[in-house]
Amino acid sequence: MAPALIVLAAIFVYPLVDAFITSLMRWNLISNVKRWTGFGNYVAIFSDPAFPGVVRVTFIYSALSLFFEFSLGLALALMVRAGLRRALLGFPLMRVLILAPLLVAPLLWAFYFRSFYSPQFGLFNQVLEGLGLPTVLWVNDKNLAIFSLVLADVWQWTPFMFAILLAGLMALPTDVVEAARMDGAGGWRILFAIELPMLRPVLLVTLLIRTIDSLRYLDLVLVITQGGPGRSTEILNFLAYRTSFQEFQLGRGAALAFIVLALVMLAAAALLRVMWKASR
Amino acid sequence: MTDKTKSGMAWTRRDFLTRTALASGAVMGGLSGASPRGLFSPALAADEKTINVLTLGEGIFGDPFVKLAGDFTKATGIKVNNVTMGYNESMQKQAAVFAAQGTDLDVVGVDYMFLKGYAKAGHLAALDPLIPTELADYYSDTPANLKDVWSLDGQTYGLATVGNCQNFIYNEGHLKDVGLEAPDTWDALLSAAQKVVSEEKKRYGFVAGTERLTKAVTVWLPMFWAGGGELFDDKMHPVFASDTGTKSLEFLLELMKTMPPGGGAYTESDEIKALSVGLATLDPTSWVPDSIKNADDATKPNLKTHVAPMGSARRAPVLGGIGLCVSNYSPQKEAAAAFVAWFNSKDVQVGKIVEAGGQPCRISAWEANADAKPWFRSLSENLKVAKSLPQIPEWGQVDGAISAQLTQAFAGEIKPKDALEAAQAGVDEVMKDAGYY
Repeated sequence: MAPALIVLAAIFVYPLVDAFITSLMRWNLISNVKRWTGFGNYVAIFSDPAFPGVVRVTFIYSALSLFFEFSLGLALALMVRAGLRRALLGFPLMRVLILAPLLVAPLLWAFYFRSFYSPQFGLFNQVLEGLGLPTVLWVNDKNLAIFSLVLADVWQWTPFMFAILLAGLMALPTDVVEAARMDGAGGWRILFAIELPMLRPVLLVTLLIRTIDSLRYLDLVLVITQGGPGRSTEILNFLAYRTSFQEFQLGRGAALAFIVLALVMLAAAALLRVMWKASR
Repeated sequence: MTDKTKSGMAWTRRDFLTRTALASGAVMGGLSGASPRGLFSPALAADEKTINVLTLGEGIFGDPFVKLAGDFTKATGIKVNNVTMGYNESMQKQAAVFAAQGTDLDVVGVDYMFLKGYAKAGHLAALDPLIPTELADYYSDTPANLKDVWSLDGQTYGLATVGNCQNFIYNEGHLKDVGLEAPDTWDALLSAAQKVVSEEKKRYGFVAGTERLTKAVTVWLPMFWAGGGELFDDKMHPVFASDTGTKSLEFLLELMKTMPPGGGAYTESDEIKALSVGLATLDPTSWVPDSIKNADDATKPNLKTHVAPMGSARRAPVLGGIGLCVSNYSPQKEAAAAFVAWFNSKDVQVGKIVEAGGQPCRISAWEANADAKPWFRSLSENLKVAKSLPQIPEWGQVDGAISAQLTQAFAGEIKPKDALEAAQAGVDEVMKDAGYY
């Protein structure tokens, strides 16, 4: 037990405690001046008039990404399952190809989309121009930028949802479904009344993982929009990054990181509670 | 798992963990004893005359130090281990190494913005006792403002090595098309930008990188400074939300109306590409000559450079520059100082640095290489009047506070006056918190 506790303390507890102590200091990394400030960093963050807007953007980004990833992932899983069951041509290959975006490193994915979204030189607008359609200011319009980031996020992470949901669907017992069919239940009824409830534990685990990921995500904002135009895509994690590594304010950056941690823990706790209730 | 030394007796899980931990500890202890600097020292080679040099990986601030490292070794016998990375990563790495007082780095490419902060914190070695003769020669051949930028309290802590500031690149063909020449003033530039716009010809006027993290403030500053504005008073109170400030930001927003669509959130690569394919015409705040280097065949002959536009008070391109410094925690300060001195020597500055992809900082080197690149003449003139950013440790926060408001003004979310007032209030908090007043 002792070695495991030592390892746990070394790689988890100590860095967490050290980061929390850092969050209680004003620490400029350039001048290396450190000053104890208690909860001053947290007070400054919560009293910043821009902070509610940042939290709102974070939740919008996460909620939209989760909704579309889940919906599209489930739709793809149902479609591929139907194809596999009927042994239709191409579906085994399709199952593999759908996973392709997951093979690309998130940072590379962000760089690809940065070039795709370029207003004059990006692939997307060149395609639109080629089709005779008007071009779009994907990430250069403050009203569209957040949705463009959601698109990039959904494109990469829907396959993750798809893979887990497909595995869950394929593992469902068929006898219950067969019995329902014999009683005259249609496809949609079976899906919503029988299959999805049975899939609930898998759904909740998948949502838990993606919720944590989406609240922690940084790559797309950092590479593509840097929080702009204006502050329309400024999410909490980007604010923490900018504060720590552009402004070199480690104390306030650590405080922001702890706020992100608290949000992730809250979201995880809520989902785990639902899972626990479902398992009872 | 069966212990072969005692046949028939199996290891318990506790036995396995204990023995593995002991074995790992023995190996770690042996390795750390073998290396002169310890287990995690980067200089595992026994040769003490190898210095670790942190610079950018490519471009004017990276290529010379990588390409000429071999020449330095031939000349001095000191080997060089080049540690290269992008700008943001390099700045973050050096800040972290300095804060930890690490001995990993001997020579560090420091952005002049951070020079005084690092020097005050004791992270940099003073060069005066290390290379006194070379320093005297260097200062006899560099603009006077460089000494002030790279010194603190009368001691020199870095040498500029690669000279750079904003340059004005423009498309001569586009201007001739509307009967104009290169504008010499900011007002003439706005007028030219407005005249040259043609939707049918897909031709736009002004272009700049307006993205937040690296560009927004340095796009606005030259216009603000050229109008006589200052960021701080002599007691370090922010004073930029003045009439001059508001007028300069309104002026910039007028210029941005002549940008290609989406210009309010343009990246540096959008800026470079727009000029290099002939989409845009006037880039008075360009940091790198990549639009000329990468221009297509049709556009390249038309791309020229000019001195920075004149405002009501002065020409004021923003000074750039990542110079070489010696880490105060380096165990090889003399060897590290020799590297700094060699790259700033007259021979290297005049004869080697331009060929290796860099730009000189010495006056004689600029004169000797005036025609080496098409943008050198205007760049060397701009360097004589370039204005430096405030060299305070809080500059990152100040830049962040101003750019957050500027980008909202670029996006049309707030008016220029409100943006600058909010920015000034934010900067005021930063300066108070840092103890300036």
